[in-house]
Amino acid sequence: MILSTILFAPIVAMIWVMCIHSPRLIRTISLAGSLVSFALSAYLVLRFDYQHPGFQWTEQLFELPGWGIQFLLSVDGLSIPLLLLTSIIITSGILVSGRLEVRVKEYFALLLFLVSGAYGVLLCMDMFFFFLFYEVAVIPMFLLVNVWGSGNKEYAANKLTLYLLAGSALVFFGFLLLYFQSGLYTFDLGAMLELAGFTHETERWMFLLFFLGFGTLAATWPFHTWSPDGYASAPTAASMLHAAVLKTLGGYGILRVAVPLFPQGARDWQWLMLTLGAINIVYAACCVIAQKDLKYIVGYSCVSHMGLVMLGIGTLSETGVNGAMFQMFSHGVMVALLFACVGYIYDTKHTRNIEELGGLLGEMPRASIFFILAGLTALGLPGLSGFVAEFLVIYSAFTVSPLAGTLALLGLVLSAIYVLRVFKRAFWGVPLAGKAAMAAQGHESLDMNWKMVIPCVLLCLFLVVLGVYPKMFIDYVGPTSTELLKNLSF
Amino acid sequence: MLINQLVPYLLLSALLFSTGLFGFLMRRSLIAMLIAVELILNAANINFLAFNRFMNADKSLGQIYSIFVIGLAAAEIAIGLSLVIAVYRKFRSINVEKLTELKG
Amino acid sequence: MMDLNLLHISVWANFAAFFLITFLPKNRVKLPPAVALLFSGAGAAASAVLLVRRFGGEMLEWKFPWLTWNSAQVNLGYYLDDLSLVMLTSVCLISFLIQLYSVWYMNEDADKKRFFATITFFTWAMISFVVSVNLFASYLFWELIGLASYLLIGFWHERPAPRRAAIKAFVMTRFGDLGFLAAVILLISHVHNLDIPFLNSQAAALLGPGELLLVIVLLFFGVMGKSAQFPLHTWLPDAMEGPTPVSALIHSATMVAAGVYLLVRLFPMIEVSQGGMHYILFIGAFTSVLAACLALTECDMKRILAYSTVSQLGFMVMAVGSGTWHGGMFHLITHAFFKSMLFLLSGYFIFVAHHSNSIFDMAALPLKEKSKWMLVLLWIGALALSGLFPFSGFMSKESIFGYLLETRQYPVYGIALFISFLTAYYTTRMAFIVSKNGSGPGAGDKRDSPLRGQSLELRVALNLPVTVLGILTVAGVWVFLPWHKEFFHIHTDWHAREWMNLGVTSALVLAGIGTSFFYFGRKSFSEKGWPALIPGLDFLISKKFFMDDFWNAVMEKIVKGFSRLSVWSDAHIINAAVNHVGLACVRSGRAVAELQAGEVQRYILVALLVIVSIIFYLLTR
Repeated sequence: MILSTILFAPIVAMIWVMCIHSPRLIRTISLAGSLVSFALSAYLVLRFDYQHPGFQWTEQLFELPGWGIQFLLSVDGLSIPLLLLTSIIITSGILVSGRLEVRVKEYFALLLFLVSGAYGVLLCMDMFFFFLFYEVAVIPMFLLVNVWGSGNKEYAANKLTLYLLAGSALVFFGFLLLYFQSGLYTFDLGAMLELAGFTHETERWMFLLFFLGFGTLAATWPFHTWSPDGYASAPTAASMLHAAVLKTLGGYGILRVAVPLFPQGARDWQWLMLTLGAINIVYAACCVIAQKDLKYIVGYSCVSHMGLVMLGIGTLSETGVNGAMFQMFSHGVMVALLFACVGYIYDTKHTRNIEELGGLLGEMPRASIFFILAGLTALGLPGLSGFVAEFLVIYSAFTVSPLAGTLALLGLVLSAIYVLRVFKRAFWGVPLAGKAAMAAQGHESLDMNWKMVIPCVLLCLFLVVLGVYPKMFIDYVGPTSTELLKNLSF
Repeated sequence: MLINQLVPYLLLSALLFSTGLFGFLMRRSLIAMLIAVELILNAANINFLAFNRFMNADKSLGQIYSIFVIGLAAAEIAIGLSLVIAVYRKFRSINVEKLTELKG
Repeated sequence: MMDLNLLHISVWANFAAFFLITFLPKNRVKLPPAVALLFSGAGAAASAVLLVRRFGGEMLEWKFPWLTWNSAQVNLGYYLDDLSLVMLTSVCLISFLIQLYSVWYMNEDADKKRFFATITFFTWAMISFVVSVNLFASYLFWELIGLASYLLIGFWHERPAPRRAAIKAFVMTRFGDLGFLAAVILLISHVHNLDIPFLNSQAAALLGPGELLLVIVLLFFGVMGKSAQFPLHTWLPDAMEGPTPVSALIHSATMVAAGVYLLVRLFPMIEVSQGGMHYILFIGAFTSVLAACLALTECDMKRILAYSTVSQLGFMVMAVGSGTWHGGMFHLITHAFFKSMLFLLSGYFIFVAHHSNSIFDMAALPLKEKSKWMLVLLWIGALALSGLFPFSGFMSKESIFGYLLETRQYPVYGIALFISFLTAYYTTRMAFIVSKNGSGPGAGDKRDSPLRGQSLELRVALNLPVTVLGILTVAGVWVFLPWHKEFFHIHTDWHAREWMNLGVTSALVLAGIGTSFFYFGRKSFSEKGWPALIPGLDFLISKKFFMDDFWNAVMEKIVKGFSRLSVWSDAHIINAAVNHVGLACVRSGRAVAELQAGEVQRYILVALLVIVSIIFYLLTR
């Protein structure tokens, strides 16, 4: 019951939201729906016996026997942290959308629909529903960008949607190939893992197919350009949710499907994963240095950080996969916090250009401190979660390919440069609008009120706690990554 | 005798049909196109009667069909002409080349 | 158990202060300094008790696992032997004194809360670095030290120069840190255990000579960044944009001391590699000479002190590289005391000179009437920095000189003597000029005290720290001498060689002071002294040996070039390709749409042709 409640709580909330009119009530109900999922995923996290990885909760709702399709929900050590992440992000996303006033009902309904898609992808161990729920997550995103977005939003929405559809189409093509090629005529991933055996040649090409498909979803170079454009145009909560959760689903898919099913293929294409991961890190970081729009800065840095996930998976070692999983979680929390702050700044100052901003620390100290904390996570400061993830990934990259490791190290300096540049231009200094403008507004404080502060504090807590005591997380996911990689050891 | 054979009737009907088709495709006026459609229908009528006369035992069947077609043609002309008038009212022209609202 | 609790107090006191100050209400302006002083005072007291109780005793180790993965484990914890104990106590003491001084210095600043929160955080990070048991943990705190110094250097972020200086400091030290991190990674993958006692006893045996050399070179790259060694030294003079107490802290007990301390901490491991030692020696000596040259003609008091710090750090690194970590460490400690005092004094003089850093502006003031005691202290500091008997600088330099002579490293000895001469020259140049006692414009009434209108506690906060540091500079070494002579390898049995050494070094120091007196001590004095006479040298110094230009070029040309290249390729290659795929779809759609021209007759024609071709196909099949 727990798993289906997690999945259906946002859907029920969505239907309810569509039937009522009061914006206040709509917000309350959306928040309640997301909190139900949050509480239950927290419960799962606490009750999960991490010493014994594998599926510890399973629910089968129905099946279509003739087609080999079943609605099977189950969770293991790989999906539980991401479930928690998703529920944190949607809760804080709903909380930070407090100032939205245009088409409130549709906005929250779409957000809830989007998140139910994300939950579905994480919970479904049936490849048919895996694909179905991914599509469920893509379509609301298109509408969210198009209706509530800013800037060149039609272009961005089209690009994002087409890219994600193309990536997931590749993945679905792979699923169908598996369905027929394996001779099992089933979409059940568990059965496929147990029964299917492929020749080396098949594994090689199948892995490439899945890697490119999931890689597009994870914004791997050179299929990354949808991500900065899309996030720059999307409304705050949508960018938070998409950058934090749906993007990591790319990495999740590779770990869930591609690596365990095609271990030899993974070995064959290891060089590709390492290369693209390293390019992602350095290339996107270089791009950030020249950006002026805060959302583009966050968007490109997000691409750069996904490179670390790809690099970690590409090492095909336990440490690297631990690091990649750590990075997925930590990056998700961090990028959500960044987008929340940028969204707030944009709402308040009506500009995101760092050359038109300045002295934000004086004007809105709370928002600035949250942004600075998240920025320091992005540059890999010890004591915050980003550092541990980066260290683990870089360490394991060095053991596999010193060149990739060196490039990733270089990424650390580049990230320091771009993060500090944003601090310098936008946060330090004297407010460009001047104190006079503030006085004219009747000393009205521009800073976040407590409703905005709560979700930001929640996100910060995760960054700090995981950074100060990472052993918790690594112990938690360690056995799972051993399990995922067990087929590789021959 | 020529008059007692099927082929000349078929040739005549084919000639009428081709003339009609040509007119239907080439004329740009809607009314001319309607007239061309009449020619095609009449070609069909001739075919009906000719085949009925030479090939079939029941002599009434083809005639029933051709009468049916004539009635149909009358109704078609009525509707067609009213459409033409409606089109003319809207576009001030019955030239089909100018009626390209449906293009993709 | 009690010692462990004391250690907990001395490490965490500053963190507790940071935590409390962060959550203090904004309008209570008096509370942050009080909290900071209370806690860091408690920390300093605890560390002093520890020093008394434990010095010379056995080491204390306390740790717990922080991060484990399949092949390695990282521990957090304390490792307290004589070395870290001495360092701990001096860091605690100096940072307490500097925080006390900040009460005076930051009196008029609006944002005391941020200042004291950051400075206690800085102190905490440094103390944790000093006592950490594990090299990985050292790296963690090493980075936190960098962050804190970034925040403090850029404290006055409303002005552009501190913002630039702060970024420069952070990015350059981060660049160095890459080396440190790479060394850590290399060590983990080969040794699997980064506990410092383990590294010192086993690592050299577990690593091959080539790998050991690589580890040392990478590690030293981190030290170059933090301790401002050539070529990563350019951030330190710029860091003078921060508030003066911060400069004092960065230059004495924290930040730059971290690099040298790391070398000393890992000395048993580093010592094994001859190549590594030579490399360290060379870089240290080169930095020391270079920075001493840069200080020769400088007019900004804080920058003179900054260059002298770089030079002295190079001197310490050189000492470590030549094999005497005792000497390097000794000099690090004595230098910390007199250099922090000099910086605190410079803060005072700058205040008196109406916020001008120029020593010539100070020369125009009647300082002898106004602040005699400060001038006395300035001279004490300057002579200690020069290395004149009987000040503390003399003892530590003597230890290094003695060792170099004992091990017959004559070229290094020569370089060290040269540095000693230059140091004596530029330090006393500063002191001579500042104590000119002129009566230039802006001097005001001679009897008017610069501290007029300041309350008693502010005067105490100003005078107490500098006086304590002054006393320690003069008498500290002698009081503690019997106590730590073992630890610092101080010679007690003096033979002809030691006497000769004493004679030579003292002669050179006196020569430096004499030269300085010749140019600057008399009634009419020159501005630049003898370096102006050497062709080219003045030019090179004014260009700072082109190092700033070099790093600017790296930043502007290489990094920004790559950045522009990536943006260009994103826009014109990848995105162009993507957009063209989209456009190609649209165009092919348009092309097919031509068939649907909306002309009925064309549709019919197409239908007819299709029917005909179907019939044709069916017939010919």
